[in-house]
Amino acid sequence: MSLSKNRSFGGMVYGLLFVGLFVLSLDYWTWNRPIELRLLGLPFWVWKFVGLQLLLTLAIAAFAKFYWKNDA
Amino acid sequence: MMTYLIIGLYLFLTFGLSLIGSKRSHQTPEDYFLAGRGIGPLVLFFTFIATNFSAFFFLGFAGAGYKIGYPFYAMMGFGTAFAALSFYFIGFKVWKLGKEKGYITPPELIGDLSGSSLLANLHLLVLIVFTLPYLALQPIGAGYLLESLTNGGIPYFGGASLLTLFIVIYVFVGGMQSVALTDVKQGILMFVLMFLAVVVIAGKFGGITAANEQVYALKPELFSREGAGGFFNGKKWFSNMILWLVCVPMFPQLFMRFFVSKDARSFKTTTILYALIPSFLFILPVMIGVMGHLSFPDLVGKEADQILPKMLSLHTPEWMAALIMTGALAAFMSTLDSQLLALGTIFSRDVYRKYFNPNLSLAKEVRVGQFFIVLLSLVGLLIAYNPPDSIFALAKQAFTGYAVLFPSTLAVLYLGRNIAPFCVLSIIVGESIVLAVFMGWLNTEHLWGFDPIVPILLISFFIILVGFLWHKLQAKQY
Repeated sequence: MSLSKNRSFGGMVYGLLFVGLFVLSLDYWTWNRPIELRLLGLPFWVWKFVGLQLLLTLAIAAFAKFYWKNDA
Repeated sequence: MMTYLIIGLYLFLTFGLSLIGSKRSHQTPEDYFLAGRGIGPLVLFFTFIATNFSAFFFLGFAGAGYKIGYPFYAMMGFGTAFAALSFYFIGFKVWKLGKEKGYITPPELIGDLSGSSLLANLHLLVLIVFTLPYLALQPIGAGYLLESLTNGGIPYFGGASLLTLFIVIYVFVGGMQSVALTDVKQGILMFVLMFLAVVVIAGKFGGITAANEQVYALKPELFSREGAGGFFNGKKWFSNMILWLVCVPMFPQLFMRFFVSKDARSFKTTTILYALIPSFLFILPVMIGVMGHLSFPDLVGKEADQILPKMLSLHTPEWMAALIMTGALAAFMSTLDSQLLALGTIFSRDVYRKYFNPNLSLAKEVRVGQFFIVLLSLVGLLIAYNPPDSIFALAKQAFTGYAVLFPSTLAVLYLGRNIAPFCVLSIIVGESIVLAVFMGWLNTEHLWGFDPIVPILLISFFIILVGFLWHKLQAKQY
């Protein structure tokens, strides 16, 4: 695979990753579930969002390290 | 007395830092307005977040936590973190172009890349129209804060004026160098003091877990996914998630910060940290707002927006309340100084120099910028004199107004000159929808249940796509 095709493929992978994380943040499938308080008296879905944001940060860090070129 | 002493010490420290900044600042526009494009990763990160997290973060988040509950944290936290992606496809390109071509303001970049003065001026007009009310939020918040903190000792408008005057002095003296240095201090203070506020207030109720359980017993809807009063539904949630991605890079004070990075590494570091911070910072004021129901039930409107200073005044000793509220003061100051500098720069280069005095010397350009900084601060105070009922509602109008610029900015950066007329049309149509919503002619029922940003983006991108395809077709025919 040529370099430009590699970059296109990489871009697509990261694009799908970020779109996937965005879709997870919508999480319409959990909206009507009963409230369950967990750690610090916060509902489970709040902790899910904390986790989602940490995942997003890791994804951006990986993107910055492996895909984001200084001459982009 | 302790309150006045702590506030005084904080302002003294701020002024000291601004003087250090002024010594580094030379009287060229690039140096005064952009700190010579030499800001390293740590200062760059703090100046981004301190600028972005304002009165809206301290008072608005706590107020929204009180009124809506924890979904507000999730929406703002993830939405803001996701907006970090725009630092790559908008911010980094802006940075490179700025270094290459010497751009200092957003309209300058837009106008030169697109070859369209009309587009540049339209962009300029939108920035001015929406920054002025948003700029006024900071003295409004500061006025409320100081009045509450001193139990009326410093009246609302007196506090607003005092803070504005102080900020004008240090921005005037040191430009972006002063602003960036004070942002580091203000950013650190915001984090530390907001964390301290949660720990101390929750401690009064037996700890964070106990406090949340007590609120849950009273108002379980604050813990539901949709929030109190069913505030969020699926479409509103989606709309808000999209909004932050597209409006954050368009704030003039943030857009101009894309120009100041020293190198690519600084830019990337800032992007990563910007995504990380909301996950643990944003929940803090929301938590205080939620806990507010234990001490101040049934607050509405402006009263609810003041839940943070109310809780501090009730539950912490005077000195601690004053100390924590300097974090809030820091938030106001770090945003107002950047907004004044951004608009002052824009008026100086994109209005005065462009239309009244094209032969303006570099040194005089800085003086003109300083003049506009003073003038704009007075306009902001005039707006703050009769403040609106809800800080959040005012901020959100500005955010949507800025977001209208996103499709055209993206198009100008990536599609070249021919797209300019369609960018102009996209902004006119977009801002017309914003106006129609503001005037009550359109509501979410007319917009298929979404907030205005969703149909605005769909229509704007469609217009630009039509333009792009049309030009491709023209090029093929010739």
